[in-house]
Amino acid sequence: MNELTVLVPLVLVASLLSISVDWRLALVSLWLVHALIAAWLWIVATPEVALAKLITGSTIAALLFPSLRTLHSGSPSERRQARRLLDVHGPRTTDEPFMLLGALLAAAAAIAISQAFPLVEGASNFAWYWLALLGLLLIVLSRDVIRVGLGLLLLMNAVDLVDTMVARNQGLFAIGARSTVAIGLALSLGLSWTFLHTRGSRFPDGQ
Amino acid sequence: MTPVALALLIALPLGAGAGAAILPRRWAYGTAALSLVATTVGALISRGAPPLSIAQTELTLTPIGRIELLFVAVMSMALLGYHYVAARAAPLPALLPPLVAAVSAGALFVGDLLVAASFLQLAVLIASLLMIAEQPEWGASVAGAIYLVLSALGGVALLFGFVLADVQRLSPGGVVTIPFVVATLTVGLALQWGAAPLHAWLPNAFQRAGPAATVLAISLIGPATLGLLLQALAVLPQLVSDERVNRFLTLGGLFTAAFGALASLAPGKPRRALGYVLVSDLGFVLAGTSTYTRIGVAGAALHMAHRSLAAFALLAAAHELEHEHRATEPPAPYLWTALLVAIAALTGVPPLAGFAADWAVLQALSLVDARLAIGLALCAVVALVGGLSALARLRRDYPAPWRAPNRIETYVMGSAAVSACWAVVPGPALGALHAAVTQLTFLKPF
Repeated sequence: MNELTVLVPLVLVASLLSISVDWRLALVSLWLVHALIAAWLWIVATPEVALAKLITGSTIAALLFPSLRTLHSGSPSERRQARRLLDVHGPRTTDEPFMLLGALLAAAAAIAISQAFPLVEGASNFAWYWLALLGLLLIVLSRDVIRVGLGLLLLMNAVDLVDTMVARNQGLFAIGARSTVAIGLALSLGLSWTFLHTRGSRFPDGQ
Repeated sequence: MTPVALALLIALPLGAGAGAAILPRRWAYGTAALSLVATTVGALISRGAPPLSIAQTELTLTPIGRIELLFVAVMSMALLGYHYVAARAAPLPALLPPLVAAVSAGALFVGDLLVAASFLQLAVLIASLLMIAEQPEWGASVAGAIYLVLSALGGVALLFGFVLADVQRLSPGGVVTIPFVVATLTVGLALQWGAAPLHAWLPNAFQRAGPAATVLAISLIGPATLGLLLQALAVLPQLVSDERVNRFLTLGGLFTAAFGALASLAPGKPRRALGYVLVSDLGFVLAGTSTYTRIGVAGAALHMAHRSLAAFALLAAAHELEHEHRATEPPAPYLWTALLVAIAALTGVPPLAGFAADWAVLQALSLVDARLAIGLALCAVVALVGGLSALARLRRDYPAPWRAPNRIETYVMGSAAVSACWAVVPGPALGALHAAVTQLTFLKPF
């Protein structure tokens, strides 16, 4: 297995994550992003780092699952209210084509920047550049707090990747601390979505 | 660092946090207070001990890190006391010990900045969790979510900045330049501290969020972030070598002071205006630090401590005043007076303690450029006007004779008095800070 066989599906899955409006698809894509990064780390770094990434990704997906399910359950009027409260995109959102365009632009920019400014020499800079740009795009362009959260998690992964490329042999504390931060971030995001939804639901007009 | 000190700084607070989550209220507060005492003892007994090596990583506590931890423990104790006296229901006793443990862990990883920044980020996440859940209002959760997103973004920028610093160190003259590293770290710090124009969370939290979580974000995370910055610059002294970049950072401090001061004059909610006064005050910390002189950095550290005390008094007084408006007791001006004293102290009105903190920064700036010092002093005057005008909007009629102050009013007035009068502490206490700063080799020797 070479790097390209992991990077191509990583690009596809992360694009899917940025444009998907179905929460199940977004969650599976997020887990797959972590799994593919773990596979990539298995090739370029150590199995310990790869395993830590897989465990972190699985924990993050498990932590976000209850919040996302709560937000998207209930009667159609409750779901509409949740969408209004959190600015969550519905199934007929017009933002999808724009996000797709954004993802394509991010991919093009990542290819250009990784060739013009290869931050880490002798390594594939495209993967982390692209994840970082996609994460930033999600944070800057989305009004939807869930997508902003997913963007933050993608950014964390990008930093994790570039750090692993700079220091291939990661220490125990470095792996543990960054995994704990990523899990803590997912927990905080999940709780914030739930609290915003629960407390906002007390107002009849959703405001 | 000794194994006992490590247990007192990390293991015991983590256990105390878990215990406080399940114990009855009074016991939970007692356990949390005990963990803060353990942090204080741990910081003190590690003095002079050699580094402790665990998994090929050396753990040690620098003099400035020790002062940071002692201050964080004292501030946490004050907050815990307020929370107990005010009979709040938020899970502060369960969250405070792990947060302090995360700050302690960050201070111990002197050589590994990425790990130190990760632990600080963990502390930020705990504070944001409390901010989201502390108050029952939807607006408070929104303020918490804003803080979560912006501070997480700041944390990612800090982590990325430290990675870039590593790349720059490994290949100097490559694509990663020192200004680029400094710019990335500055964005991270500005988001964590609430410096203009990346300040959005601070006035929002001041207006809408609960007092405990906002105190954690301003008065605990703020000093811990300054500690991380000094720790980072001690390891990466090349970052302070470009005078042009340093000049931009000083101007950034002045911009923050001016922006916050002008925004505090805008008509709006009084608590929001007070938040902008705090944004303006941050200008002193930024400008003092970016002079990279001993007097400037000591002044900035002193100002950070002072700002933390004043922010605590302001937040507690503003929050209790809102409660008083809804209460059945006859109104008395105790909390309003506490707010007045805290604003005067924060903006450095002489002879209050804030002036002592401001003076060192102004002196350091005047050595660089007297116009910067004058500009910063003028911003403080404008911020004072903004704070007082916000206070005027909060004033009510207080028919005499005034009733006796209740417990929480006494506590808040005491906090305001401490923030206004701490400068009377004996010289050696302040000398310890100067001695710790003197050991930072990247600073100019004046």
